Amino acid sequence: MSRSRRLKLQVFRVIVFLVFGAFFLVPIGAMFEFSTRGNTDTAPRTLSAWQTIFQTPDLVAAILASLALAVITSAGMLVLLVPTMIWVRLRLPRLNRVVEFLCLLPLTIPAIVLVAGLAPEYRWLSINVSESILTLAFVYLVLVLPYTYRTLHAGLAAIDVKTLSEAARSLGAGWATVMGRIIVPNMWSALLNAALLSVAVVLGEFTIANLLNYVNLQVAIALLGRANAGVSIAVAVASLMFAFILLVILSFFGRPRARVAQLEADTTLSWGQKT
Amino acid sequence: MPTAVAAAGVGTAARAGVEVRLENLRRRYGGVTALDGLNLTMAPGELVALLGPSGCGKTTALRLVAGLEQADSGRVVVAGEDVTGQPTNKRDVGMVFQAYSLFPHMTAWQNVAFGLQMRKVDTARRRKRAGDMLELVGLSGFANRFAHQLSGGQQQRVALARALAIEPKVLLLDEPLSALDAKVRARLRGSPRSS
Amino acid sequence: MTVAAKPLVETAARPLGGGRRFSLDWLGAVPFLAYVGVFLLLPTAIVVGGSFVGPNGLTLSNLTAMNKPFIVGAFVNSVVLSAGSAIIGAVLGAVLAYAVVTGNPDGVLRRLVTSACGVLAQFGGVTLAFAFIATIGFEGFITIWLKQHGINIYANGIWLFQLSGLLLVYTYFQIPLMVLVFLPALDGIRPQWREATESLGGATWHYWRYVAGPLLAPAFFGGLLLLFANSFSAYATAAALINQGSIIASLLIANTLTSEVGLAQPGLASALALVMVIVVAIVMVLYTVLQQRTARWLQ
Repeated sequence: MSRSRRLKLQVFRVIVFLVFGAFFLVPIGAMFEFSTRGNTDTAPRTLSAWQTIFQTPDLVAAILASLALAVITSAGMLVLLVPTMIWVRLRLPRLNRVVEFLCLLPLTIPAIVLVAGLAPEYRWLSINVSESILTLAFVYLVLVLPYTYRTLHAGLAAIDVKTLSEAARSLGAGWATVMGRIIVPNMWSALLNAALLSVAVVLGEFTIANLLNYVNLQVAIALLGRANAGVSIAVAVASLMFAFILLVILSFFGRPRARVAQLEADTTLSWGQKT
Repeated sequence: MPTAVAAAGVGTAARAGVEVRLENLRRRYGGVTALDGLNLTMAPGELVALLGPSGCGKTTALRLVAGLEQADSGRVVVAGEDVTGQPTNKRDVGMVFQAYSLFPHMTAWQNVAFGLQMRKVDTARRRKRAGDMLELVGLSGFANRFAHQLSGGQQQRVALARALAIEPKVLLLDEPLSALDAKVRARLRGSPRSS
Repeated sequence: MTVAAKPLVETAARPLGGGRRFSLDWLGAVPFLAYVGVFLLLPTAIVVGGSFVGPNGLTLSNLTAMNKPFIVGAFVNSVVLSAGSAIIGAVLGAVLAYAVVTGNPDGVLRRLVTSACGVLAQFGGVTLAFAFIATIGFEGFITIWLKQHGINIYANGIWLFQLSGLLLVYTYFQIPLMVLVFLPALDGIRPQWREATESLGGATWHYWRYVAGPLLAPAFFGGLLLLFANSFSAYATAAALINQGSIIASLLIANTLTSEVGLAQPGLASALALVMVIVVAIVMVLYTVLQQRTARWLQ
């Protein structure tokens, strides 16, 4: 590459990063600014909005509900998806494409569509089983499938499941032992990534909770926004920071470096791509 | 088998060969000196192979001749003309890379014809010339294949045909067989000379 | 020896082939299939079926009821918004991805940008709406700062809470999404192709016109389609920004579900949802086709 071209490229990159950096950082900075305003134009900066978060019982309840949903969804996802994916790989290879299709399907069915069909089901659930907001975990598990499927798929692809299990079986291990003691310990980082992604998705969910009349974190923020914008924006910033920390941990944890972008694309999107 | 790079100031059918002279070429990458005052003169039509262990500067020398990199100091003179500051696309140098240099969205003949397209040769003559070149490397039947439908050895023969098609003043081959297995390598080794 | 070895091989192969134990193996997949059936396939079936059911049994009235101006208008607005935000997002996202890919592939900058894009592409909904309200809302700090310098960004109406506002706000998650889908394609472009072009006499313009352009086109248009689907199905951001009215299809579906219109005609919401899912499905199929072509050329 000639020197003048390299110089032009560097100038181009600096300008691009400055402009995009400003576009993406200014709104986040503005939320910090907004959440620390005083009551009047001349009042000094204050953290009172942030302190009010914990004095708002509805908000605390919603935060706790969302955290509980995140934990239940992650655990349920692992229990349902991991054994299925391993089993299909080992014993039902012809079902592989079906499982992949079903896992990626929620990307093609918008949440707003899903909720139209879920409304009767949740009406039945609230009458016959429970009215608890935690029942949302049933549908959240479906919502996180596309994101977690890709991560687990990559984790399983990195180990030779078939040979490992055949070796273990030849040494006398049953199927439960093969899964629990041979395969799962070899894909810890994929399991952790899948769980963290689920947490991030659940904490950000608004559509389904709102339209099924449950108050989770995002719905609470939206409701509060009309009464006390400062507090709701403070919570919004806090939840955003939390999601960002989760995903930064995720992107630095156990990934081959050169393939970070590919994996980001795989794990956060995986829109119907085939391997 | 030590890694080898062949650089040839070739005389192709249409042209007499030209002299290629490298004068005191220096190139450093950060703290590593790749070339420290290389002087080399290749007579018209001469076939020169640069031999040496990896990292000794063979590829760098070739890339300087091709203009893909700039020397820190020194000159490249082709046919008596100083081309040191010229961009690659003005130098009339054919190059065969180590691997993966075929354009994946073009068929074999489109790849071979690409250089002629850059020279504004009309379509009929491009097609004819590309066909001749593919025949020369023994791939007449593969004109409409894409790179991913060809084996590694076939890909490199297409790449060679592509470099020869433009009848360059200088033909550079940068370890063109390095990505292939020994058997294919032995079979291909004769082909550059026969053109 | 050969006689003894033969049956050994066959008995060893049978359990792995699984032909005889087929039915038992299937039990392992039942929990997953049942779960997905109840919470994904059944709701979808309810939507599709509900579109054709009225108070008096099977009917097409839900579908014919969609020719009302406000419904057609909402879908037109959704298409305009999705196309606009997809084009802007795809072009700007491609530029940013190119700036990223020309840097050090293992560098901190690249890692930071890809991580940030992973978060921001998911950053829709309430938080995003509030971020823009805090920036350029009535009390937003850019609004106030500009007002102090004599510029009123709302002189021509309150555009932040209209379609043009949504266009700007959607760009915020569309650009990162494009970066994530386009980066792998850019990574697949090999430097040899540029060098080969130059050695064959092509200038920079020729390289973009004949080599890089055609190679990246499927990935770019694939990304464009993905962004369209992403915007078309988005609800939360618009709902948080726009309190009343149904200016786009997703808001219309939500309002029909919860309002008196919906109670009067429960099949209408399903029919609207059906139209949306059909549009998104067509777009996603096209996206998959383009994605496969990209994979073949650029690994």
